[in-house]
Amino acid sequence: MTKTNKDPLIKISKRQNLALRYKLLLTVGAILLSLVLGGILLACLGYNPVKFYTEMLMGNFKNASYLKLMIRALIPLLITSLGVSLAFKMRFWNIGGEGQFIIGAIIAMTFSLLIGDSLPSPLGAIVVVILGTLGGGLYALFVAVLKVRFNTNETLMTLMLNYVALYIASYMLKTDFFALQGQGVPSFKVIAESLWLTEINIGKFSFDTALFIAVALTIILFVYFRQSKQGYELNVVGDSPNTAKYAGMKVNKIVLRTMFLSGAIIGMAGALKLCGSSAGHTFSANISGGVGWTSIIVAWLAKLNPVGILVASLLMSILERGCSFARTSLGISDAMSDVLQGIILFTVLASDFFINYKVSFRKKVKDAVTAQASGDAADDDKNASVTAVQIDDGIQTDSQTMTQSTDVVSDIPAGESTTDISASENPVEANQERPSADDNNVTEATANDPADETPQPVTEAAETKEEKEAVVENVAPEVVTDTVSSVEEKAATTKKTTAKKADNAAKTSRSKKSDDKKTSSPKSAKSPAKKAATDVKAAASKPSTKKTASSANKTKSTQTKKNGKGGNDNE
Amino acid sequence: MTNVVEIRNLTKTFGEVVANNKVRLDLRQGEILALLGENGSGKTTLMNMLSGIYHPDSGDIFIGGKKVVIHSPEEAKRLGIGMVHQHFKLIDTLTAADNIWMGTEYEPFHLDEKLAFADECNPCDSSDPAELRAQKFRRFKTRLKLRLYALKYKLGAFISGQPLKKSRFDRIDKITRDFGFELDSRKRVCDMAVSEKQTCEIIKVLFYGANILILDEPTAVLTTQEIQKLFATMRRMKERGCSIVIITHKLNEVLEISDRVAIMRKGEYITTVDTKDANEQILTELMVGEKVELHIDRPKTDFDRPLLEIRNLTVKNDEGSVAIDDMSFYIRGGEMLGVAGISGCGQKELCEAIAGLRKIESGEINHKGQSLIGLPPKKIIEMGISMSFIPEDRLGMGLAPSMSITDNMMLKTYSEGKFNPFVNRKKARERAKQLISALNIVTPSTETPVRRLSGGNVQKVLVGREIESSPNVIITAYPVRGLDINSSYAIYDILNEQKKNGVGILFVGEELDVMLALCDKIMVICHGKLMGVVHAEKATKEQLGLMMTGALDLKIENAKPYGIAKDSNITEKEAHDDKNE
Amino acid sequence: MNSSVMAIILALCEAVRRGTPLLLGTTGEILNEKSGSLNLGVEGTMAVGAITGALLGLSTSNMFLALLGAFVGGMFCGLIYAFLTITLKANQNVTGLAITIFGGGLCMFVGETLKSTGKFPSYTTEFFAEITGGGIPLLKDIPYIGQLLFSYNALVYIAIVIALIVWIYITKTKSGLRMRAAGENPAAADSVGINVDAERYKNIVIGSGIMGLGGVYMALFINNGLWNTDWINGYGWIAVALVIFSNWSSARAIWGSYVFGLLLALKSRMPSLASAFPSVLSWSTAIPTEVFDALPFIVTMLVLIISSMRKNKNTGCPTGLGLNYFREER
Repeated sequence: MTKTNKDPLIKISKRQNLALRYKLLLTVGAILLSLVLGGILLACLGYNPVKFYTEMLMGNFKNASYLKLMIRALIPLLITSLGVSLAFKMRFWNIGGEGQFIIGAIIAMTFSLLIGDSLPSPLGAIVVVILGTLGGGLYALFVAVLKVRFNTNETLMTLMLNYVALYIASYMLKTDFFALQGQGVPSFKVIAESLWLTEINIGKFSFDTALFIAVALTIILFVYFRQSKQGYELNVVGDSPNTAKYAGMKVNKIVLRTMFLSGAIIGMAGALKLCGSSAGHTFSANISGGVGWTSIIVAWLAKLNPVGILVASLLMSILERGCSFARTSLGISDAMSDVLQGIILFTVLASDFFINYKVSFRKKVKDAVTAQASGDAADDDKNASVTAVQIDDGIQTDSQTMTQSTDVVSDIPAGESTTDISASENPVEANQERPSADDNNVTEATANDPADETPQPVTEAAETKEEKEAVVENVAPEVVTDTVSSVEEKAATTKKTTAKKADNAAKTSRSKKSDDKKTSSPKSAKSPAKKAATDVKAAASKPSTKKTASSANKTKSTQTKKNGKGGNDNE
Repeated sequence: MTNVVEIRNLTKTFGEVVANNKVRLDLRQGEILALLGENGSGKTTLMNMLSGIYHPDSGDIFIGGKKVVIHSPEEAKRLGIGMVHQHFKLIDTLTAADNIWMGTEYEPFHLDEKLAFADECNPCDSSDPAELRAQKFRRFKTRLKLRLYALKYKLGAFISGQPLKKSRFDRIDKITRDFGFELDSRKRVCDMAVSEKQTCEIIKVLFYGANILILDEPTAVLTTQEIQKLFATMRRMKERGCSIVIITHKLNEVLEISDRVAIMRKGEYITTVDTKDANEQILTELMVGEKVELHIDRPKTDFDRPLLEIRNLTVKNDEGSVAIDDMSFYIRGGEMLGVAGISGCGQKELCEAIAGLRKIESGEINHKGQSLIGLPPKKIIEMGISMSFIPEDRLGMGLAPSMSITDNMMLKTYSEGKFNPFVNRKKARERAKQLISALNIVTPSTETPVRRLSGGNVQKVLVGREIESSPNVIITAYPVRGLDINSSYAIYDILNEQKKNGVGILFVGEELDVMLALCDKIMVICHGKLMGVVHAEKATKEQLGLMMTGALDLKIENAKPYGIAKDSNITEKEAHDDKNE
Repeated sequence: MNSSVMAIILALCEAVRRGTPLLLGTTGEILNEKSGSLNLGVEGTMAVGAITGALLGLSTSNMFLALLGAFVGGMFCGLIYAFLTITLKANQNVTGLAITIFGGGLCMFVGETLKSTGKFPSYTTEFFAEITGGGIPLLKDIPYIGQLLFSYNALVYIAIVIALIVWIYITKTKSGLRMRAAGENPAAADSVGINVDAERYKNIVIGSGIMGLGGVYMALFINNGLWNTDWINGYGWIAVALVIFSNWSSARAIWGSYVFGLLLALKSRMPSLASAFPSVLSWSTAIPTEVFDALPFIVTMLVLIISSMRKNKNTGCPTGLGLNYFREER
């Protein structure tokens, strides 16, 4: 049975929009919250969270060499995230970042070893990187073709390809082409020096070439999304494929092209890492360093905005490097970075809820003057007083509903009373035990009977109003005392029985007692009686006056209403 | 007569759109009430609130005189309200029997009464404190035993209710027959015909003891015989004591089956009349409102030769049934042809087919003699045919909702500039600014995402953009839906401007007043068939209303073929009369 | 003759052992998906189950507690996922990935931390024997058949039983019917009074618990008791694909997982098979082991491609999979 006749406690409705600053605030708040949660986890395991976080920061900014390590972690993450965001913007869930990265590196490695010294630097490096890029692109394109043709689930396909790439990489270690055998543990060959991506020196500092490429790529992608035709198409397809079709865009072509680019960019990240010094200019099965996973978090965190991706990649790199540093200095496992990343993603997903939906709470019945929390300018006054009366009277009118429903239901054969077929219904026996209550029902019904529906002149409506007031006057004492007595009873009985609506047996005992109460406390009933009477009257009259007004105006003001409101037709 | 349902001041808003505005309604015990109204009048929203799917923003619902708040369909079910929706809520892969009974629960234990009864049997009224304590203890023990028993009962009922017995099919079959229906309970819903699905839905709500039945446009999917069967069912239910609300827009059915008729218009409740006092004229008048003097210009233009000619067009809808059935009509340059019809009669499919977005089963579409069939939209543009389509689904099709006005302005023109990889936002922004000032679009800036704009402004952006490309044919579906008066007039002005320039306009609308004032000719579609084409000056609303519901078919009345122009660009073997009234 | 038969039998045994965590993962995921949520956090859930189960089991040397701990650990992950996707209506794909990353990280983190501080509980000899031994006492001594059918650890049989119970639950009980309805067409289920959110919560949490069992099996039993804090290494994703392969039926998943288990087992079993059947399989020695590593994934891809090509109307795939249900959605 319904628990309560009040509005739901928590109402969730979709939000129209939220100012940017609130969105940022929520996201930042989410990240802070996740740091706190991570701290709690650390504390549970016996570590000092504050110390951990300071070490984490220190690990990056202590000196120039740490900073360099952080930047070296940043570069592949940034590029990969950019690539991933390209696909995500089109709602194509490219989870194959790991695989595309590795393939890019593999292709680059292959051609590096093939080319060797033959090409002058930096031409050789450029060729190798481009080939790696192409490799990553093709690896992703494969999945896109399947999706466009057969609607294959791209999430799982790209995932599977991750593992395939991984195993290709580990196989490579066994070959003579890729690795130096012997010496116990085979190691990958180092690529020729002419293919190395050296560092560029600006003043005192030296930066990896790849950093410039990464930053350049960020800018390029920013421009691509915002200014280019392809970027525009990409945005439209991601926003509403129907609109894209309507505009004449070839959605399939756009999907294929974008996935190719996505994979290509990630492949480039792999190739760059191979040629760069961070990995020692050589391949390893672990060359991706989990960047394929982290990039997804970065992309989601940054809401697919290139600038946001730059910031988020920075954040994540600091996190990862910091955890790695904390491992050496504090002995905490660096899986902590995974844990923290996971928690950050949780809190950001949670904060997304508050960005997209509005939560409104139920206002108390007494608080009837102010509008509901959702911001409607509804007129609650009448509702409140009617509600107040109705809730108290609700118990009496209960029987009426039950009589009706049981009559109908018993008519319809509801099968044998087995547990799984019978419809839930209220017990029939309660109705017979409450003769006193029934009288009130009849009068109650008339008191609340609204004016006729057919359009009537104003005079008739006025009559009805008077009629009603007369009726109410006659009924007032009975109705009121019962109301009052029931209120008192309610206070007396336990909370549980009050809250439950199917309170039949309790009412049985109450109605017996109410007869006693009626005679014993007429005096005390008077003043609340008066109030209740006025309430009932108010309730009865208010609907009628409203109706009077509206029914009178209906015929005349149809025009004005129509003109005033214009075309407000909605489904 | 007691009121079994009373609705007072119910309001429901979706974002900016007011679907129901302080609506009131009464349903009397044992009556069939027809809820009548045009598209967009808010009938379904109102009933959805009654059946617990939507939650009203304000207002009250009284069931049996008692105020209730219906939180969920489950609660509506318990209150005895059962709704058969227009789009069936059935699980396709399950059988009819499973769909029907899967919402049942076991017989409740009625713990409260038993507890109260126990309290009575264990009175705590002694004056002696020691005895009082003993009495209280006895009461406590009994209550505890009762609670434990209740738990055991619940568990037992739950477990024994689990296995899906084969006998459930027979039980449902028996119940079906008792209600007076015929349905094979073993049939899976995906294998059922539409009328069978509807029967299943009705049995479902009756099964849960609904005594307030709500049927949402039930006859839309039925044949005439099935409709009669449905009416017989409804009368049967009425005899049993059910109260029925039937949402419909078909006047003949309203007159046949209902006791009273409640009319809604544009989200507002108008009135309720007794059916015996009503006839089609009265109802139409109430439904569409009195004839209002709209001061809409209708500039006189010289009509050109037919610009767009449609012959014997047959188009299917998404579900595979025929949406447009062998239709022929034409539009002249400088002429505005209105399309009237009940929602779902095929207008959407017609527009999409002409715009090249939907496959054509058979027929011809000719633009100045050139066939457009099978050509993708871009090719059509290349051919120099400029056709604009302003779709009904503004944010789902016509515009990209999260993108700015500027971005949406260049939706069809972004690929200008053959060798330029960049889009020219500056130009688009200029155009957007012009549009904003010309049409008084209310927006914080040109970069605001269009989904944040109010309905009227969204439409202005859409219409404005389409007009921009100087088309010579404009197809527009419900261009002023949801717009306030001023915006509507602005749109009319734009369209009239275009008309004066010799553009042919196909105007699919829902407000007959507007169409009668604005359009030159109006064609009426009913269930995908052309009912007739009338000159707007000489036509009446009643005539249009009758045609819309299929009661009047001018082709039959006037015994003349419609839709072929005298001076057609398509060479014909015989000459046909021009359509006339 | 004997050795070749033994080779086959050993291979099959290994297939069963490798297939069991797959079976558990798949069964749990079927529960998730049938009720409408695409839970991509299988890997993470299995990892968390692995660590909680292992810790509890090793510290108490009680197998039952190990399983219990794993189940609870899995439920914990399921609860997070359910809360995020149902109550907070988050995107299911991304949430699942978050669970994967978080779960995997948590497992490694806790494991490594405890190992490094030396607090990681170690095996007692009895427990070790219990784990590495197993099997039904008398039946396992039957030659050949005994080895093949009755020599497994208890969890293998438990897994089969769970899969069958889940199958019965889904296809033959009323609760399962309601759950299926919620997954197929939440709006229709809602209109009949089925609480869609509650159904999903229930099934996600229990399904995740089952996945957790899979995780602990891998941790404790697969490496013949040599515990290492190893990643689940892709088994979770194979389980997701297996759901499609077995057409969302956990009874079919039983033999499906053993087939995949065989693929996984080939890596270690191939050499002995090759030597037992030199005429047929001699070429197989030249295949690098990585191919065997990658084989399950490649086969999974083929399964995905083929099933998406088929467009069969009679799939067990719930129509409402992956979509969040919001009643007031217009």
